[in-house]
Amino acid sequence: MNAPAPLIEGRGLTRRYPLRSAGLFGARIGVVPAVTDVSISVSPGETLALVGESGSGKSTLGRLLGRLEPADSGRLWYDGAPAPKRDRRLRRDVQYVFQDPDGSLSPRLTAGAIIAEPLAVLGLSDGRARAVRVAELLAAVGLEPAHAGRYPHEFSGGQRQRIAIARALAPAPRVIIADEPVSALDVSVQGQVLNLMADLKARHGHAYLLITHDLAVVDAIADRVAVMYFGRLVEMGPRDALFTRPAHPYTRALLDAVPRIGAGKRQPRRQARSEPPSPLAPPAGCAYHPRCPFADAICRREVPALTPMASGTPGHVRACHHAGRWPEGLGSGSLAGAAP
Amino acid sequence: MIRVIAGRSLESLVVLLLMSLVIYALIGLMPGDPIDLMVQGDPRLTPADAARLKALYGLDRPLLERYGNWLLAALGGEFGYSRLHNQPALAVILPRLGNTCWLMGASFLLSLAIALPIGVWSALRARTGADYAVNLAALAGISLPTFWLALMLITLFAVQLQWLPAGGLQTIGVESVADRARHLVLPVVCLAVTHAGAYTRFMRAAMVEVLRLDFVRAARAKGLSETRVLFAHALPNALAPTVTVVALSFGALFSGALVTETMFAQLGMGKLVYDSIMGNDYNVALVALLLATALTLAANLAADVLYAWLDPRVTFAGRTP
Amino acid sequence: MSGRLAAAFGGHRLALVSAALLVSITLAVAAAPLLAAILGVDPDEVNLLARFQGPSLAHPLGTDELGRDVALRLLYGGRVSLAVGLAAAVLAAAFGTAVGLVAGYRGGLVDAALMRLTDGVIALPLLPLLIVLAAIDPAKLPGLGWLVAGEDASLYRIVAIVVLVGWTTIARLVRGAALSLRGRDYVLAAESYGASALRIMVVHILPGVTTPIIVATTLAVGNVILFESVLSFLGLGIQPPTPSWGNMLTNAQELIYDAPALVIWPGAAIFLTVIACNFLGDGLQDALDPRARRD
Ligand SMILES: Nc1ncnc2c1ncn2[C@@H]1O[C@H](COP(=O)(O)OP(=O)(O)OP(=O)(O)O)[C@@H](O)[C@H]1O
Ligand SMILES: [Mg+2]
Repeated sequence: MNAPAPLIEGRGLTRRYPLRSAGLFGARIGVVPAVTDVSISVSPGETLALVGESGSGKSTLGRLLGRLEPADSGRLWYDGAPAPKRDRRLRRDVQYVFQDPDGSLSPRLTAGAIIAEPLAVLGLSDGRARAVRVAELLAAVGLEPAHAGRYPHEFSGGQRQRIAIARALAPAPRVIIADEPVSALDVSVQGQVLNLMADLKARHGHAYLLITHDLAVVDAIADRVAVMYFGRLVEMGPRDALFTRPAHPYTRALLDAVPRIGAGKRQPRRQARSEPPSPLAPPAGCAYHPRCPFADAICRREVPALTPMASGTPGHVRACHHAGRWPEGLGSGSLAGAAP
Repeated sequence: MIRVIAGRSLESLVVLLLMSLVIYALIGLMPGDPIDLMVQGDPRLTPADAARLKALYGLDRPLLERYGNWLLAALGGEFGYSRLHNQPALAVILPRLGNTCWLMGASFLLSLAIALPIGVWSALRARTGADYAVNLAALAGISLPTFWLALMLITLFAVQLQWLPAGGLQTIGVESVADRARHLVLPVVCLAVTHAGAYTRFMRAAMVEVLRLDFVRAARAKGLSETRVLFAHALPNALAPTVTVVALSFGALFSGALVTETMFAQLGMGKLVYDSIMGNDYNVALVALLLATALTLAANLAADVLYAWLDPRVTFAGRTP
Repeated sequence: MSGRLAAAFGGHRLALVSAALLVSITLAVAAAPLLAAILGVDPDEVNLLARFQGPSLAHPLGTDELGRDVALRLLYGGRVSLAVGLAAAVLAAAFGTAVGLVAGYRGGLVDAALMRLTDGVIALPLLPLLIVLAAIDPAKLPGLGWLVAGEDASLYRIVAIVVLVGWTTIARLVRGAALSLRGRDYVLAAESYGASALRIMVVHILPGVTTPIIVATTLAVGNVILFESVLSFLGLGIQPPTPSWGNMLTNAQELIYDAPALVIWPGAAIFLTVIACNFLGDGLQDALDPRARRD
C-alpha cells in the first residue's frame, strides 16, 4: 500500500498558550505547550482519526490545520507546496465542523443564511443559484429545504449539527476537519450523524480529519489513526496495524481502557500508572515516561522521534525508545474480534 | 498595591497632560482672541498694531509652541492674568474653590444620607410596590433638569413663601455663619435632589446583588438575626461597588454644581468656568477647567483605590473588565 | 399574592405608559405646523400688545413676554428638543458601537488604546467641556465653516457636540460584549472561510449586542435632552428665535416674578419626556435582560 500524495500537511507545527493570572494585564505565569513539533498529513479521500486523552492537544492541532488560529512555528502545505498565509484555496477546500453546534451557529442568522455565508464570502455562487445550492445542501444532510428560514434555536441538537455539516459541505471542500462532531449530541442521534458523515464522504469523496475519544468510532470509520500524547504525536499508522500491533505503550494503554476492544486480554499492570503530568511542568525526555512501565534513563533524557518500524506496515510510525524491545505478547491485542 | 496606585496616578497625570493640550487648543478656538478684543475696544489701533501686539504676545506662533510656553510657565506656578478680574488667575480661582467645596460637599453628604438608607430599604423589598415607588422617585430625581428645579425652588421658597434667599453667598454687610448657611440651603437641596436618585439606584442594585449571594444565604441559614446578616454581612459588601460608582460620578456632580452655582449666584468654580468662558477670560477658563478635570481624575483614582481597599478580592487588574 | 403580581407588572406598566406618552408627545410636536396653519398663528410672531396673557381659547397656555403663543412654541420647541435628543443619541450610539466593535473584536493594542481614550472621556467633567465645545467658533476650524452657515446651524452643532462626548457608555458596553463573542465558534468558523472583519463584526457580533444598545440609546435620549436644554438655557445651544424647551427658559429668572406659569411649562415638558425615556429604558432592560428578571 503506497501512501497517496498528501492534500494538506502540517510540518513541525507548534502552538504554546501563555498562561496569565486573572485580569487584563495579568502576569504571565507559565506556558502551556499545547502542540509541539507535530508533522501530520491528510490524503485525498481518507479518514484520519486523531485520538488521545483530554488535554493532549487534539483540538489545538485541528485548529492549526483548519487555520482557526496561527501556529507559533511550523507551516502548512497544500497540494505539495507551502500554503501562502491567506490562501483562498485553503479557505474553500478545508472546512471545519465544531464539537458543539450550539456555539458554532450564529444565533441570529437563519439556517439558510448560515449555510449560504461561506458561498457568499468565497464568491462561489450568487442569487438564485445560491438559494438552490442551500436547498440542495439541506436535503443532503437530511433536512427540509423549508427549514432554511428557521433559526438555530428552533432545531434539535442533532439537526443543528446537520446544519453545521451542511455549512462545511457548502464550498465542496476536499477536507473536513471535525472536532468531536457528535460528543455534544444525544447518544441516540450520535450514530445517525456519524452515518450521515460517512454517507456524505461516500458521495462527495472528501477526506476527514476526525478528532475523537471514541475508539469504537475510530474502529468503524477511520482509515488511519494518529495518537497524541501531551502535544506530540506518539504513534500513527493504518487502523488495523495500529489496533492490532500498537507500537507505543500509551497507545496500548488507550486500547486497554476500552473494554470492547481486546477485553480480557490485558493485565492491570499496563494501565496508566499515575495522573497525566501538569501541562505547565512538562516532564523532560519522553513526556510519557512517568506513567510508562518500560521507562528507563534514556526516556527521561531524550524526546523520542517518530520512526517507522523495521518490520511494520508501511506508514506505521511511533515515537518510543523501546519499541520492539518490550516483552512480546503483552501488547498485541487483536482488534479483529471487536471489529463489526 | 502601592506600586499599582503609583501607576494609576501616573496614568491620570498623562491623561491630565493630554487634556491640558486639548483644552488649550479648544480655548484657542473660541471666538475672538485677547488682541481682537483690544482692537475692538480701541478704534485707534490699526491692523498693523494688532499684528505687532500678536507678535509681542507670541499669538502668531504655532499652537504647540504656544502650548509649550504656557505649560512651562504653568509648571513654574505662573497661570496668567484674569481679564475680567484684573488679578492673577489663581487668585481668582482659589477662593471660589472653597465655596464650591462647601456646596458640593454638603449636597454630596445630603444625597448619600437620603440615598443609602432608601436604597438598602428598597433592596430588602425588591419587586414590591414600595420598591417600585422608590425606583419611580429615583428616576424622577434623575430626570429633573437641574436648572429648572432651581427655578422652581426659587419660585416657591424665595419668591412665594419668602423663607429663603434666592441666591448669593451671603446678605451684603452681614457676616454670620447662620446667614451663609441660609444661603446654602436651596442650592444644596437642588444639587442633592438631582443626584440622590442615581445613588439610590446604585445602592439598591448593589444590595440586591449581594443579597442573592451564597454567603448571605448561609448567614441566614446559620440563624443569625436579620439585622446582623444585613449590617455585618450584606451591607459592607454592597458598599464597595456603590462607593466606586459614586466616586466615579464626581464629574456629574461637578456639572450639576456648575448649573446650581449659576442659578443661585454662588461664586464657585462652576460659575467661574461658565462666566470666564462667556466673558472671554481665557486664562481663568483654562486653569479652572483643568482644575475641574484634575479633581475629577482624582475622584476616579480614589474610586479605584477605594474599591480595591474595600474589596480584598480585587487584585487590581485593569479597570476595564 | 396578587399584590406581588401587581408589583411585578408595575415596572412594565410604567414602561408601557411611558412609551404611550412618548408617542403622544412625538405626534403632538409633529403636528405643530399643522396646528399653526389651522389656527393661523405664527409661533415666532412677536406681538408686544399681547404680552403675558393668561390662558384663553386663542392661546390655551397664554402668551409669553413677547406676546407669542406659549402652547405653539412649546410644540415647536419639542420638535427641536426631541429631534436633537433622538439624532444625537442615535449617532452617538452608532459611533460608540463602531468603536466598541473594533476594540472588542480586534483586541490587543487597538483595544487598549481605544479603551484608554474612552476612560479618558468618561473621566471628564462633561458640562464644562460641553460649554467649551459649544462656545468655540467653528469658523476657526478648517473645513467646518459650513456649520456656522444656515438656519439650523445651532441644531447641527449641538448634535455634533453631544455625539463627540456621548459615545463612551455604548462603546464600553459593546466592547465588553464583542470581547466575549469574538472567541465563539461561529466567529472562528466565519474567520476560517475568510469572512472579512467588517462582515464578522456586523453579521455575527452586532446582532448579539442589540439589546443593550437599544436600552442604552433609550436612556441616552433622555440624557441628551437634559444636556440640550441646559446648554440652550445657558445661551449656548439652540439659538432663538428657533424655540427649544431649554431656550424658552432663558429669561425665566426674571419671569419668575411676572409670569411663573411661563417657567413651569417648558420645564415640565423636559421633565416628562426625560422621565418617560428613563422609564422606558428601565422597563426594556428589565424585560430584555433575563438576569434582571430572575428571583
Ligand atoms: N485558547 C487556549 N488558551 C490557553 N490554553 C489552551 C487554549 N486551548 C487549549 N489550551 C490548553 O492546551 C492544551 C491542549 O488543549 P486541547 O483543547 O487542544 O486538548 P484536547 O486534546 O482537544 O482535549 P479534549 O479532549 O478535552 O477536547 C490543554 O492543556 C489546554 O488547557
Ligand atoms: Mg478538544
